[in-house]
Amino acid sequence: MTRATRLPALLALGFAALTTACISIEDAGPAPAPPAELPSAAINRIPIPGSDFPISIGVVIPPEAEIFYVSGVVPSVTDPSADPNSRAAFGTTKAQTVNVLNSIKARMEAAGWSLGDAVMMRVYLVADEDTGGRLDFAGFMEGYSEFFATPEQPNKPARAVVEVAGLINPGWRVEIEVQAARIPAD
Amino acid sequence: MHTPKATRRDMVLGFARIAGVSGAMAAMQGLGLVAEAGVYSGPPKPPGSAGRGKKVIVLGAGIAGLVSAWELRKAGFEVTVLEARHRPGGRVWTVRGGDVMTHDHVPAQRVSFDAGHFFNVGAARIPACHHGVHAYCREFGVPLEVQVNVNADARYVTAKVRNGVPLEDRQVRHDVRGGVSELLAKAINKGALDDELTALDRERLLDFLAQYGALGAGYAYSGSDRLGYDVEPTVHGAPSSIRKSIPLTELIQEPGWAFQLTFGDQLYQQTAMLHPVGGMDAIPYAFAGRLKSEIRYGVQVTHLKRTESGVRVLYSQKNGLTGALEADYAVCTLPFSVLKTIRCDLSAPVQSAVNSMMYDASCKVAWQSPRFWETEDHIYGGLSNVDSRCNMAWYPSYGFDMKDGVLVGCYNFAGQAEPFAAQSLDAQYEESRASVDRIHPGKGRLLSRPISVNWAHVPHSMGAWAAEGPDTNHDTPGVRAVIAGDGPIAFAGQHLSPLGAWMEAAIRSAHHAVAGIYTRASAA
Repeated sequence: MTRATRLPALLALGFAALTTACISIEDAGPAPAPPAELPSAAINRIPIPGSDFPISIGVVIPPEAEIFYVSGVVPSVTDPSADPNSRAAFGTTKAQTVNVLNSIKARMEAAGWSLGDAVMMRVYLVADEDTGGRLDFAGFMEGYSEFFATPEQPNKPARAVVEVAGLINPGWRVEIEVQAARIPAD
Repeated sequence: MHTPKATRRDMVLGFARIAGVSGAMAAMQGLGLVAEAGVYSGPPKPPGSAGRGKKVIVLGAGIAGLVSAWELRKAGFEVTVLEARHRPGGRVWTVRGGDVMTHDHVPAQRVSFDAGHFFNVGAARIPACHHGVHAYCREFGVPLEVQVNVNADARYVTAKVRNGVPLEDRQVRHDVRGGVSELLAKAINKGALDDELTALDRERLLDFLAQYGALGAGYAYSGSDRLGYDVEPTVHGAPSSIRKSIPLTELIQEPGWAFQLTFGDQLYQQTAMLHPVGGMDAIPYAFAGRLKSEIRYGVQVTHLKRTESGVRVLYSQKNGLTGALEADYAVCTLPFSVLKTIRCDLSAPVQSAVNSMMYDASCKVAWQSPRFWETEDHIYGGLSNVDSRCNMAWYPSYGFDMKDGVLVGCYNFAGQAEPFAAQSLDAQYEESRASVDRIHPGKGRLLSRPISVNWAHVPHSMGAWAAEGPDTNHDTPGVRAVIAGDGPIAFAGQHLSPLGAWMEAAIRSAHHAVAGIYTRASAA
C-alpha cells in the first residue's frame, strides 16, 4: 500500500507543505497515531516520522477550536538610509523572514494569541539576488527555524512555500500568512 | 570466552543490555572472514595505484563512513561523504551546554549544562581489546582517560531484596561468593563430589574456597571485612564493626543480579574502560577535521541507484534543490532503519535483508547535579543498578570531586525503551528522577537540567543498534549478501558485525568494505 493513503483526507493541506520539505511523502513513512495521552479536544500536530524537519505533516483541529486568520505580513524597513523601494532597505531573505515572523508574533500576542498557535502557514518568496535569481529557501529556513520547533517554541505548523513573481514593494522578498487555532480556555 | 547462551538468557530477563558480547572470532569464521580475523593488523593494504582517478561516494559520516573515507582517500580514491546531519559521528554523539537535541516525536530540547560538562548520548565507553578504535586514537592523537565501569562502592537496589534498601556492590558480590563457596564446601564435605574429585583435589578445592569465599572455621561463611564497615576503624582499641552479611537465599531472589555481578567480566565490559578526554565525539571530529573537503553536511540521500559504470545518488539540500552525484563505487554506511526509506535498486536478497533488519530502541536521561554520589556516598564512577525501567545511575568518570557532574539516570533498552519513549519528556525526566531516588534516597530532588534521548526517534538514526536479543540472528544469507556487496556498492556499519553495538564493529566492517572496493578497483 502507499503510505499516503493512510493519511486522513483532512491532511490534504499538509501535502503542499511537504513539497518544500526535505522529504517526499513516500519517504515519510506512515503517519503516527495521535499520542494516547492527548486529550480529545486538542490541536493535533502530526510530526513527520523519521524527520526533524520543522513542519508538521498536517494539523487536525477539533470542532471545539477557535480559529485566527492573520493577514499576510510583509517586512518593515531596517535600513532607512537606503532607497525605500530597494532590497537594501529590507535586507536578505533571512533577515526579512525574521522581521516578518517577529511582526506576526507581535500581532498575535497583541490579540492574546501566541506564535505557537499557528497551524498553517503560507509563505510567498520572491527570487533573491543572493541565490542566483531563485527564491532563497535556505535563507528563509534559517530565519523560520529561529521561531518554530525550537526548545522554547516546539510547535510546528503545516506549511507551503511558493515563489511569486513579485510583491507590492520591489524590495520585499517575503510575505507570510498564518492560520492559528487553539482550544478556548473554559 | 563467555558463552553466548548465558548472555541471551540475560537479555530475556531484560535486566540490562549486553552490547556486543557474541563470540567475535567464531562468528567471523562463520562469516567467512577468517583472513580478517585474529590479531588486529590495521586497515586493508591499498592496491597500489588502482584508486587513482576512481570516485567513491560514502553515505553517512558515522564511524563506518569516516573510516571508509579516510582509508579510501589515503589509497588515492576521490571520496565524497554525504551526511544528513550538520555534524560527524552518527551515533557517536556528545552534547554540551547550548546544543539542541531533536527527535521526530517530542519537542526539541536545549542542553543547559554548565561549561565543562558533557553527555555521551550514544557510544560512551571503549574496552582495551577494541584494537581498531585504539589504532585510530593513536593515529590522530586522541587522548583517552580511564572510565570506571565496575565499582565496589556502587549500589544494588531491588524490591525483591530487603524491600529495596540500597546495598553496596561489595556486599552483594562477596555475600554471594561466600554463600556459594560455603555450599560447595558443604557438598565436598558430605561426599557429594567424591566421584568428580580425588581426595587430594577435594582438599585443594576446600583450601581454595576458604580464601576465595572468605570462609571461617568449618568452612562456614559469616561475612568478612570485604563487606565494609558499619563502624569504621580509627585507632587501636576504638570500636569498629564489620557490616553484617546477607544470606545467599535472600540475594538470589533477584535473578538480574547474576548478570549485574558478572557485567564487568564480559570481554567488552571490562572493569576499567576508556573514553576520550572531553567527550566521545573527539574520535569522529578527529577524522572529520582531516576530511574537511570530502564531507558534505546537511545533505540527505533520497536515491541510491546503479548505473552502467557505477552509482548515482540523489540527495536533498538545504536550498531545497536536489543534488546528484555519480561515482564508480559507493560505500553505504546508513543504518538499515534509514536505508529502507531510501529509493534503491539493490538486488532482491540485499534489499530484503535491508528491509527485514530490526533495530532496538534505547533511551538515556542525563542530569546535571551536585556530586552527592561522591560527597555523601563515596562512589567515584561506575554504575549502580536498580530494578526500575531506568535500570541504573551511571556516574561520571571525569571531574571527580568537582562541584557538579553529569549523571546518567536512565539507560534502557528494547522492550523497556519503547514505552518509556512514548511518554512526554517531562514524564521521562520524572521517571528517571524517581529511579535515581531509589538508589540515592532523598537525592532525586538535586537533579536538574535533564536531557533525554530516545534513539528510535532520532532522525537519521531511527534506532540504537541492529536488534540484539535472544531471537535475533543477523548472520543470515541476506546479510552475507550485503557484506559481499551489491555490484559497485559496498556496505559497512555496526549492523554487519557480530561485535554488535560498538565503534569497533563499525571499524572492522568498514575495513571489510574498503577491502571490497580495493578488489573491485583492482579488477577494473
